[in-house]
This record gives sequence, C-alpha cells and structure tokens, in this order.
Amino acid sequence: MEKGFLHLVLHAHLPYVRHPEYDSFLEEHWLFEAISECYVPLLQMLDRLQQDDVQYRLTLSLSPTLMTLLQDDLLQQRYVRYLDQQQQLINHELDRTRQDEQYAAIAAYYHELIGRTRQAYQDSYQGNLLKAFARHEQLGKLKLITTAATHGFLPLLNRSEAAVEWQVATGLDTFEQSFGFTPDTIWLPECAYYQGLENVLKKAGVDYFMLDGHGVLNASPQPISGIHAPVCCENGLVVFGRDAQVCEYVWNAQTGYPGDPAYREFYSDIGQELEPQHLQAFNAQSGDCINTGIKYHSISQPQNRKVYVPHAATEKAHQHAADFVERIQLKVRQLNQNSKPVVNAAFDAELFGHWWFEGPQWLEQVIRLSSTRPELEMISGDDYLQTTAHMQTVQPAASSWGHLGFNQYWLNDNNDWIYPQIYQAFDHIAELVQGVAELSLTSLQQRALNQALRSLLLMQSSDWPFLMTAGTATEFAEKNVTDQLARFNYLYDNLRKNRVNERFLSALEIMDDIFPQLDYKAFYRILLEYQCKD
Amino acid sequence: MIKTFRSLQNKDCAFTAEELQHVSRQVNAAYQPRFSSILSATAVTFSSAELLTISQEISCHNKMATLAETFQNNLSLLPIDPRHVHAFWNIGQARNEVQSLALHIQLQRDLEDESDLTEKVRHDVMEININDMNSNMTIELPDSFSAKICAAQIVEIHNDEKQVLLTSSPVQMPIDLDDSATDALWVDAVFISNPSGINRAH
Repeated sequence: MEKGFLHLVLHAHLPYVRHPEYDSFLEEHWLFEAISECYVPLLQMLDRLQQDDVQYRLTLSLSPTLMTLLQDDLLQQRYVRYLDQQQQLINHELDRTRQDEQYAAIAAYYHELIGRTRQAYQDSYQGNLLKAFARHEQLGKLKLITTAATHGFLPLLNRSEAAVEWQVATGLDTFEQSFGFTPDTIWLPECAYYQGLENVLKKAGVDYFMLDGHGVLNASPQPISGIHAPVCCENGLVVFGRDAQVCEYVWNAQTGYPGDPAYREFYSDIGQELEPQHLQAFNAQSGDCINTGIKYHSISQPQNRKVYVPHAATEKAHQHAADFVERIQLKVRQLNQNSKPVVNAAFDAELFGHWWFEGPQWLEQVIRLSSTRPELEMISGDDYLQTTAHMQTVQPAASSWGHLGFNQYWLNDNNDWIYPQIYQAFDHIAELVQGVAELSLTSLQQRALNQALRSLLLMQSSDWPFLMTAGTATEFAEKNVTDQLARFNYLYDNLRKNRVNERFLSALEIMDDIFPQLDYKAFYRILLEYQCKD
Repeated sequence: MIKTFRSLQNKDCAFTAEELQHVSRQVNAAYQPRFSSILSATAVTFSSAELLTISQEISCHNKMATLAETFQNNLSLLPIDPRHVHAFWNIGQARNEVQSLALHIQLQRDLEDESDLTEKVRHDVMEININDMNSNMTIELPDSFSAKICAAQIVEIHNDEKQVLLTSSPVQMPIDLDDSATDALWVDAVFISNPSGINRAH
C-alpha cells in the first residue's frame, strides 16, 4: 500500500504592534505573550526533534509584520523587560502562595518555565528568533514561507489588482531580505481567494498555495479527488485544499482538543484575578485588565475553579496527539486505494501555546508519532508535487477561512467605513507616483513617498477589520486605521504642496519602521504594468 | 502651605511637586531614550514624548478630512458572499434639480436556458432608491438567480428621464456553496466508488 501524506502548515502572524511613542504599550504584549507561549516553545520543539533526529516536514508561514517585530531592537529590549516583570511577579507569587500546596506547586512551575524561556530567548537564540527558525529551514525539516506584506485581505483590495500585487510583492521581498531566498509558495491572508488571484501569484514567482477546502471543493469543474489531491489552475499554479474536518479536531472551540478540562484555561490570568497590590511588577492600577501570562487554573467552571496540573495536561496532549494521528492514518487508509492522498491541515501558529497552552506538546507528539508510521509521511507542498505529475485543471472558487467562508467578517457594518478610505488613499498615491516617478526627486521627497506607501500598506492589514468585527480591540483597530490614514494624508499633502517637513517625516519613519527596502519606483513599475493592460 | 518631599537619604533636601517635575523634565530631556530609524537619511532622534506629540498632531488634523473632501464621483462595489454585495458612493456636490436618485445593481448570470445560444449572459437590474449623495449600503441579491458578475450605476431621475451619474467596475461574485461538495462525499462516494482518480494532465 502506498503512503498517505500529512501536509501541516502553521501560519504565524501579528499586526504591526510597535509603539515607540509610548514607554509601554498594551498591544505590544500580544507579541511578548506570543514569543513566550508560542514562538519560543515551537523553536524548543524543533530543537528537540532535531536532537532526536526525528524525520518530519513542517511548513511555517511568518508574516512580514511579525518578522519585522521579531527583529526589532526596541521590542527585543521590551520583551526582556516583560520577562523581568514576569520574573518579579512570580517571585512574589512564590511567597504569596507558599501556604497552599497546590498553588505553590503551580507557582513553582511558572518560576521554572519563565527562567527556561528567558534562557532560551537570551542565551540559546540571542534574541534573534528568525535566525533560529532559519537554522531549522537550513536543516531541511522546516519549510519557511510568508504572506502578503501587512496581511491585507486580498479579495477586498482587488478593486485595483496593482494593490494586490503590491501587497504580495512587498511581502515576498521582506521575506527574501530576512532569509536570503524567495519562497515558492505564499500563505494567503485569511486563506482568502478571488478568481484570478493566481495570476498575480504566478507573476510573483509562486508555484502553489493553499485554499480553504470549499475553495477547492466548489471549483469548476468539481475536483474528482476532492481536497485530497492538489488541483491545478489554468495558469499552472497548484492549489491544495485545507481539510476542514481534520482542522476541526483542533480548531473547534466546543469539540476540539483544546477544550479538554485537563488543559490550562486561557481566560484565567492572575492579572485579572488578584488585587493590584499583588501585581506591582506590572504596575497594575485598580480596574486594570492585565495579562501576565501566569494562569493557575485548568478549564473549569468559574464557581468551581480547578488548579492546573501540568503533568496531567501533558498526558492528555499526548493522548490527543495519538488520537489525531490515528484519525489521519485511518483517513489516508480509506483514501489510499488508488492514489497518494494528502491531508492538508493549516492553523494559526498562535493557537499552539498561546490559545492552547499545551498545543506545542501536542504538535511535537503528532510529529514524533507520524514519523513512526510507515503509512504516513509529513511533507511540504513542494515535496508532494515532486511525487505527482498529473493534476486536474480547475477554476478554484472564491473563498476564505473566515466565518461563513467568504468576506463577511472583513466587510460588514462594523468595518465597512475603512474601504473607501483605503481605496482613496491608493488612488491618490498611485496618481502621485505616476505623476512624479519620471522626475528627479529630492531625497526628502523620495522618503516621503516611500513612507506614504508604508502607511498605505499598514492601513490595509486584515487585522483591523477583523478586530472591529470581533469587538475585542475595536478602539485599537480603529485608531490604527485612522492614524495611518492621518499619516498618509499628512505626507500626501506635504508632497502635493512640495513642503516636506523633515522632522515630522523622520518621526513617522521611526514610528512605522517597517519595509526598509520599500521603493516607490517598484510600486510605479507595478502601476505601469496594469496601466498597459488596461 | 506648600507640601514638600524630602529624600530619605538626605533629609535636608526638600522639593515641591513642581520642583520634582522640573527635575524630572530636565533629566528626561537629556537622558530619555532616543529613537532613530534606519529609514531616516539623517541621524534624527526623538524621545517617546516627542514622537507621541507629532503622532497626535498629525492625527488631529489629517484623519480623514482630506480624503472625504476629495473622494468624489466614485461608486464602488464589493462582493461579500454569493447573496450580498456592498456598494459605497460619493456623488459629489449636491445637485439642485435632482428629483430622485437610484442605485442600479446589474446582475449578469449564465443562461438558464441553454437552448438560447445567441446570448451568453442575461442581464437583470435591481433598482434601489437612495437619498444620500455620499453613503453606502449592503444589498441582498434576489434568491431567484445566481449572479456571476455584478456592476452598479447611480442614476439620476429627473422628469422621468434617467441619466447615469456614476458606474462601478464589475465585480465577480463568489459562487454558492455546493452542499453536496463535501469531503465526506468524496471519501465515500467519489474516490472509492469512482477510482478513475485524476483525469487531466497538468
């Protein structure tokens, strides 16, 4: 019997949450929590797998905004300050809980965990997580890929295909600058696809991409092999279909593994449970809602909180990993009667460790178990394509992995106001660049144009409309859009009046310190191509 | 009486709150971390407070005013799902003699009657009365057809005469989910019972 394949993709992304204009900034903690709970544990997992010579293949998408955040000196310093705060807090907790055996044990667990995380971050990885990921890429086990520049929701930027191409090209360029090569695939932000996107991707050098399952299952004609064999667009780009059923084992909030009562409760943080006098390490004031990353309870009813037991959770994660591998194996056995079925599973990387604390342990065990099953092999998309010469040609269907499968989450009453603004900004900068690109601009004018393009990209992020719909950080998301609009308008106005204020421009370059190689001339070349097409 | 603060280390030193703030500002001005960027051609540095001031100044005056004033004569359509599109428009200056305005959504779909080979597509138009020169709305498409392509127009109606003011670019609509196209179906019915498998060359 031939093997079946597991194509596992993790997509790591955070919006651009860097704010040097504040001494500390709440949303920067999203990055710090993700480093401690997800990115460092994933690297530690990769290190252990390498040490034990486990054979596997895992694809990890790192978004350009996340790459920028992880490489940023200021945020690296602030992350160490965050670790200092955690350390100070847990020292206090060791003292506070010493009379209670259960809580003292879990406090001791965190004391050790924070120490190990610090040691890994500062000593093993020397603050440079991208370099650590690159090492595993070079070893051939990890496949690194990326996504659009600021994770723009491409079907809703498609009013101008040049805007889509600018997102894609800037994303791939940023990756290339960090890792020294251009990936052969790209993660589509929110798995969102519109008919024709494959042409932009092909032009950018992409060979294949993944869609949510229904984007493939509803393709025209309907693929005879469903989502368990890649299909081919007319232009030759290959599409893998994400297996929603398999992903539900992990992703579903009600029935997925992460909801097991043995696991740590995400929402039970001592930053929200203790009085401010116990949270001085985080400068807590009365009424503050702080996430310290220290969580003492397993998933349980608020009126009957149970203390988290790490070793029991680890045991459960291993059981769930075995169950998952068993299900995958069963599935490929069913499918494996005449072909080489591939199960495509893709998740947000931050699920592993951040939302689901035990996720990295589960993942490690899935990888270890898969490596021992002769009928199952973990692969990347390009590995699979090397094994197969024939694919059905189809036209994939518009789709996303969001609620209801299309664009609703990113376009509704909560966020529709942003799109006219984004389109208008694009039209303005496109017109301006086309008007001046052939002229000899001063260095200051060139910088202002480039910075306006950075603001345009930053306002296009899918995170802002997502957060507005989710209602979780609405004010923050709205402020990000309006601030970037303001910065864009300011620069645009400066350029139109030929009065660029260098002091203000420099301040904006410091605050939005992303895409250092961005060049308006590259944007101009894209505009010209689409102008010629029209 | 003005409250003063004394140092624990030297009780002879007393400061008013104002004096403490003055010292704090002086220390900050001289020693606060300064931020620079490789994006800047010159070695310009700023403190956090200076960056915040500039950010606030720009945000206060430039939020959306410039765009709102100039983004006129525009009608855009965005697909939401197979049954909904979102339209936003800005007609520009108020028109004195307008009797009424309408948004026309033009739907194009494949012919249901395939016997009519002379026409590739059939057009249907939804007419929605609108009142605002600058607004947006989500439009639910009729159940009766499945549009492949949508386009919109703003039409001015004056003395029973219609004049097109704005036309949007056409947008491709997502297709309805085919409930039968599930993975489970394929596993049980298509793949196993129809093992012809992959049928077209790459």
